[in-house]
Amino acid sequence: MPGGREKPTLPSLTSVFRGANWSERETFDMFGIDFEGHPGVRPRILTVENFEGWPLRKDFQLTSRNAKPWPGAKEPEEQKPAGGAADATASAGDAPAEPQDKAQAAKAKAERAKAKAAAMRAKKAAERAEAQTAAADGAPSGGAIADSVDQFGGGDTDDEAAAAAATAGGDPTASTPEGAAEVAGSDIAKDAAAGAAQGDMDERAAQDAANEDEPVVSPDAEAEAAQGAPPLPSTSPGTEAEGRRGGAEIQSGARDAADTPGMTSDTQGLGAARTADEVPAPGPESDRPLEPQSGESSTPDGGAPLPAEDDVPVVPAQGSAAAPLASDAAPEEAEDERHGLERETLGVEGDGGSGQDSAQAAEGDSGSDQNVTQERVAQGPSPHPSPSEQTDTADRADPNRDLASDATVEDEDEGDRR
Amino acid sequence: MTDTLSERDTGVLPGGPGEGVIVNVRDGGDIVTQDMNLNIGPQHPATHGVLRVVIDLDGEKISRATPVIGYMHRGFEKLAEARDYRQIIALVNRHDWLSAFNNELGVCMSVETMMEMEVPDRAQWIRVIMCEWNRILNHLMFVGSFGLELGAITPLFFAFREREDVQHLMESATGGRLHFAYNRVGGVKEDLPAGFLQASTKMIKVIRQGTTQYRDLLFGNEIFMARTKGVGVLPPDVAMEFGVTGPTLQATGVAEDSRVSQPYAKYGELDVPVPVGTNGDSYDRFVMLLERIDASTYIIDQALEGITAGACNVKLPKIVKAPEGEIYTRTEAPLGQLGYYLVSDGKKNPWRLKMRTPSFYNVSMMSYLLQDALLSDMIAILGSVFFVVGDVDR
Repeated sequence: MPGGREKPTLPSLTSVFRGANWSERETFDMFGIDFEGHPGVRPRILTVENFEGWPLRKDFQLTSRNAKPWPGAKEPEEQKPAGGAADATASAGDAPAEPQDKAQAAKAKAERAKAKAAAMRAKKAAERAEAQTAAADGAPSGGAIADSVDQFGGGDTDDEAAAAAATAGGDPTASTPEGAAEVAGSDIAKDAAAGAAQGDMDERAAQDAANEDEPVVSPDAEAEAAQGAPPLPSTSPGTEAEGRRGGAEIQSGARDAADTPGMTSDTQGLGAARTADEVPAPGPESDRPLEPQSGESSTPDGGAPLPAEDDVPVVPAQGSAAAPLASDAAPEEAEDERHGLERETLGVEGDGGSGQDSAQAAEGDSGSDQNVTQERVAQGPSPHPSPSEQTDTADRADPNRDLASDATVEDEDEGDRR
Repeated sequence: MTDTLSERDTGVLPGGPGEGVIVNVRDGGDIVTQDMNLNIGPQHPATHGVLRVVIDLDGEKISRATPVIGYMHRGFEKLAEARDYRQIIALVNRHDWLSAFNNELGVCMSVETMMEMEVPDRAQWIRVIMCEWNRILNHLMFVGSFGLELGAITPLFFAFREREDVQHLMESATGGRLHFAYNRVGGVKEDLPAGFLQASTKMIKVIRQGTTQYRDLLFGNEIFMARTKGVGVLPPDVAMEFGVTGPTLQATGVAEDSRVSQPYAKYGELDVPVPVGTNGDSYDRFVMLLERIDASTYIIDQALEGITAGACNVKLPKIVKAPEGEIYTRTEAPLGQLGYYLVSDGKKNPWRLKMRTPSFYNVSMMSYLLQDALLSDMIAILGSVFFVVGDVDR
């Protein structure tokens, strides 16, 4: 073409067909081709006058595609390995790679939530064991616990945790954790209580973890303990089993999520993230559901069902297994909390109509939590969930499952459409 | 100076602009006027969207009119390059939102022709029926709104009454009221629901009653006649020079219709009446709409007789890829000739998809039509050159 790529020019047809006027103006606007003899290709007919570039040229990239590649550009089989890789990095606890697309972002999110839930579970186990220790012989279990608890508290959230602990101290209803701390008679226990009360989000995760922990996992752990896992010099078999359970759970959970998105583990992980989303900022009343958990271990009933081997501190195993994950996950969440926007977007994208459901679920939670706590205080930690607890879990699980399946279905959907 | 409009007109019609109108008197007359620049739009009820017209007024006469478009430019041609052929069907639904089915059909036909795909008979019959229902839907919109723009509010209600019924009918088959996405490469999404053909037969009667009613309402209305007869006369040669198509071209007396001149789907086996006007004025353009609605009901009648049983789509490969090459497919959309120029490099998305939309060329002619017209006639002219702004800007 005369003029080359920089200044292409063609002779105009307008002298033959008047109707060629707009066609040529459009061609100029879209391709930058000037027309000799045209009454005036400017002003640009479809775009604005100060528009830069020639939109229909192949080297012109759509603005939104600069930020994110068009997901439809990939074949279904192309997308799978990429997603798997992203999952692998996420499950390894590294900083997740730049999300390739929405579905992967959602997956990574689920991963993080899952890891966090696992960390919370581990922490709870540590707490319980520690309280056991404190109750049994009252001996402080050493600086290692403090370290691990600090790590659970996680960087930025420490302040919040401290604040939460302060409110807990001021709140008359929250005297139990303080009491527990006093029983333990050490700063470490206080730290543990603070760590546990560090915010609604964690608490929810802990709640979830507790719900799934007690009926299913504890017997396993006991069984494992009974079988006699090889004891380490410093720890008894039981605690070792407990500690390793935390670590193993995390790994297996992560693996599950990576291999089979949309499985229960993924669902729960997402669920934890999502319930956390919907809960309002931590207030004084938010500490209440935690009472029994820290209190249960201080009461004689609460301590009884746990295996006696649990007396010895769990710390070394846990510190090694759970802490890296927790320290990675916690700032991540703190970040999210500051910019709640991202998570909101996720919610909206993942599940368009979940607003009502989740609101209901949240209501149900706040209502039934009370019951659960009361029951637990009365019965101690029973291996079987109470009916209200079951319905609670079911309520929460349903919308979550929708969300998770949406996230995965979206993935498949795109493949399908392609 | 005498009236300049009457020179251009074929004759002075009673109540028309030539009768007893002193357009302007300058330089030596009693009245001295001053040029005025007036901006109509981009938001104006008579422009069906965001069309902006900048006019220079000499008294009451428009000395120059410049349509300014691009307010609704959404870059469909660029977007199409990033989507595969199945996604494009949903995309082209939206450039002319009043002719969604006809738009889809053009793209599907392009891909089918390139892939040398045989479309089952039943699918082709369904396409004909749906095309005509969509055409009726489109024309009813303009019948109603044109009356409204000229001050007659009842035709709008009547037209929308029928429109609603037709929309329900199409929704029963396609699931959509505006954006049907019912076409697929190789056929249609699924077969017609039970009772659709009977419902179509009934609906044809309703539509025929409706058009009779609109005629009674409007053609017995002296104001309507006075404001449309002899207003905005478009000569056929100018229309063809500007690439004007559809009812606007037919009103000038040119019997051009892609369904007849280059039949697609099952139109070759049908008797497709092509109404033509005589004067090419606003009135004729409006009459074309009503006659095209009648023609559509006549075509649907034939199609309901001719429709055969059988499959209504073909099995597609998982990824639809058009072979390397190019093709220009033209169809008769409700507003005129709709062409898709598809260039494929053998991938699943087009290398280039040029949309030749009827509204773009119809509006490009507007500056001719508005020149030397009276300001008060502008609405009658704008409203009778049927266009959808989304179709202009794409």
